Amino acid sequence: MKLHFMKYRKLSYWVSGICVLLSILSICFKGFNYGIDFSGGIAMEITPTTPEYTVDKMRSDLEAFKPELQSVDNKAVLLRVGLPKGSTDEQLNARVAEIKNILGNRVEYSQVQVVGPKIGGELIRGGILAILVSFVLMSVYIWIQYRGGYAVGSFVSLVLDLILMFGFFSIAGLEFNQTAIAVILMGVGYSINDKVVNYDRIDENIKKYHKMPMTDLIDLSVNEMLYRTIMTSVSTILAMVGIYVFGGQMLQEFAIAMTFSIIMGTLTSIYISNVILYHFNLRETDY
Amino acid sequence: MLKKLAVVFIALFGMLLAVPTLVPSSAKYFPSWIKPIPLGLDLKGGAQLLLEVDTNVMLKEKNAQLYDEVRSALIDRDKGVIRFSDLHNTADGVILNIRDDGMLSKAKGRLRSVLGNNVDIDSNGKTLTIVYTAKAREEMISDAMSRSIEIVRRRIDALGTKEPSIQSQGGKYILVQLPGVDNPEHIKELIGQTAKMTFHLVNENVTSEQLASNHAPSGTQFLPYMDNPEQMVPVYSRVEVSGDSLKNSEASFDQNNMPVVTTEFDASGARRFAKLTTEHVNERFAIVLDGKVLSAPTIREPIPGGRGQISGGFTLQGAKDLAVLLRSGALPAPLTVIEERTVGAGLGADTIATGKIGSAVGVMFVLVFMLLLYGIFGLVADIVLIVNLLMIVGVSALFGATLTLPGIAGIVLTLGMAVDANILPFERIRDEVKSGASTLRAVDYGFTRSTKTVLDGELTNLICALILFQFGAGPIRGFAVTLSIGVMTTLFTCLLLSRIMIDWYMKGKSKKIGYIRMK
Repeated sequence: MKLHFMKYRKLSYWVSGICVLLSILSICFKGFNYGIDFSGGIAMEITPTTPEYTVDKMRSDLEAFKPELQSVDNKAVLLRVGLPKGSTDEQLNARVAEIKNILGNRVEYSQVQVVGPKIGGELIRGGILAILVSFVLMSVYIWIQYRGGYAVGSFVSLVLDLILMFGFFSIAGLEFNQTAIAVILMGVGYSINDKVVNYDRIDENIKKYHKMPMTDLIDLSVNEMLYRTIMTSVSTILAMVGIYVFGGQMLQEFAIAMTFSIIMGTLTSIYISNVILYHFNLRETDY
Repeated sequence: MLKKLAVVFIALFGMLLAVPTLVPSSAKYFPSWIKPIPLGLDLKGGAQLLLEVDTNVMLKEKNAQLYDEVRSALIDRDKGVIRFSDLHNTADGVILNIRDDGMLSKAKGRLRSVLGNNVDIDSNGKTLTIVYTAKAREEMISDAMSRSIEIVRRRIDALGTKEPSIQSQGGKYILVQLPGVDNPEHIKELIGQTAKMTFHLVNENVTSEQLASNHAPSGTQFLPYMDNPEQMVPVYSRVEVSGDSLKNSEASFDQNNMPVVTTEFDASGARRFAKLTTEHVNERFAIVLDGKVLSAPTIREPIPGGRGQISGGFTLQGAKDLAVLLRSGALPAPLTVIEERTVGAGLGADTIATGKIGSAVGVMFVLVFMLLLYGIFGLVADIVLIVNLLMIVGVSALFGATLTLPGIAGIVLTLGMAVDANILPFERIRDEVKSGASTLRAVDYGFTRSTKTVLDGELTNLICALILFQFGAGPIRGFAVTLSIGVMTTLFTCLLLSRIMIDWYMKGKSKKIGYIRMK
């Protein structure tokens, strides 16, 4: 069996283009569900010590802080308090103390997270910088090991991956926090591995079949690697399924986002990063 | 042969390192450097505070100090007064005009000899600019950082917190980790105070009109009472004695059974305090803490022994806290808590439990999958995978890399991807067998040809992990370490160990077996 990916490359480009457009639209208009890691604020997971202390009572007690309250598993309560514009770290800390004071002994604190207004911006800058630097370095590595065309091809598909992953976080409304950055970088790591493995085969076949037209050569290489490409992602997704089902609530969003990025990385490896090589003259020794 | 032995030995050793983590009770049979993997606060419960050191405030104080030094150097009577005008602080130093052109070089020389090499002195016409050198600033900041860390440590130790970890992060932050602490409010309160204590005389000549209009005469400041911020006290700006000279302080009770803090000065502090109280009997002096007046008692009689008692309407806890603060010393710069993450011990235990189960199930899925896909080769891959898992745990423990929740997930992901490093040679071998090569040849060829592929894939991943480590913070860094270790152990197990096992399995099989069950 042989699949003709090159024949449908225009379709691949169109589908990718539409997905990128949807992602960008969602990012621009819907935005992200920023966790307090980025927006700053207070997030607590609390458990009332007496059943009489209900979410509604909490809500009225804390009215002044305009809290978001959400009950989990009928037991714990998630409490979130945003950060008013222009507030300082001192004010934030005072709020935490006040909230704890009001709740007093009526609740137990399973988890408290307080992030000041300054640190969020630093995290965003650090995250974006990390992603860009890793793209450049990985492309340079590919350039050195293979050829410029491969580096450009992988860079383009990585940018595509990145936009789609940000888009996924935005569309699915998953909380965007430090873990999200880690997931995105891990997705990038997975994706680049996939691309390198495929490029490796293409490079080998270029040396092997001097006369074969580029379209056939890419098709051949992708087909040769297809089984491995799919099996690797199935196996990794299986690991994530285990974590999703049994790993508890805190790891669930991680597993979902990771699964998405694995599927997406696999798809862009098959349909984009290989196919795009057609546009670079890889047979030229000096590129 | 030697190489094979070395590989097997390293694998066994790596797995051995994981034993104390997996079976905590066995830790006592191991030497001290083989430890269980340290758990992050998200897994064992505790509080983590990120503090920002406000170095701007400290630099401002240093600038004010520079102002005083320049002034007293120029009006030094013994060496001859150099007349100047317009001395004032700028953002990063002081600026002044020398009245007499002829004195310019003399002024520069004297300032240089008094201030040393920590400052740059520039002149432009009659104007002198004196700023701290970049190096001096850096030193001040790093000195302030290390002193702040030391003082925070003393304060936390005084509260009896177990195994706190206090370290600097990113040049101006201090990361405080307090295992087992559920509610760090009290600690935050103690850390957040600069605790700079000074003793001043009260300016009794200030009229109530002046106080009401808030126009302080030069050299005098109006400071609010700690327990009654509405009421101001006019104090002279000059510091008579500072808290730096305190030797000890304890909470106790006065004759009315009210909580107070008793203090004891060191020798020079005691001398200055004795002089102050001797020369100013029946005047008031103010005890000022962080810009607020604790109390302003009248001096009844000279106090020679260097012992004092501070009252200020304290609760017992307030007195105890103040005593701790005074004992640990003043912070060189204000600290602000900019991030707090607390995980209750119960939640931590729950997280470990579910995280363990989830990861175990995830790994099981992968193992079964490989077995179904590749039969006997799958079994080899499974064994290699388990060795890989144990080595990741073992090596992480050896480096003291903290295991966090994202770290556990990262390990599972690493294993999922390690499968790739097995599938690649297996697929090659299968291709070769299909095209008629003998099994032994196919195995040899399969591994040789896929080595570069695996290497390139994993190394690009390593780049990604290193970047994460460089730019990430907190849990992400721990995760990056786990990922990097995972890349190393994956390369080791998949390229070296699995080859040895396959070779060993093939040995003794006749060359005629042209087909191996792989699907």
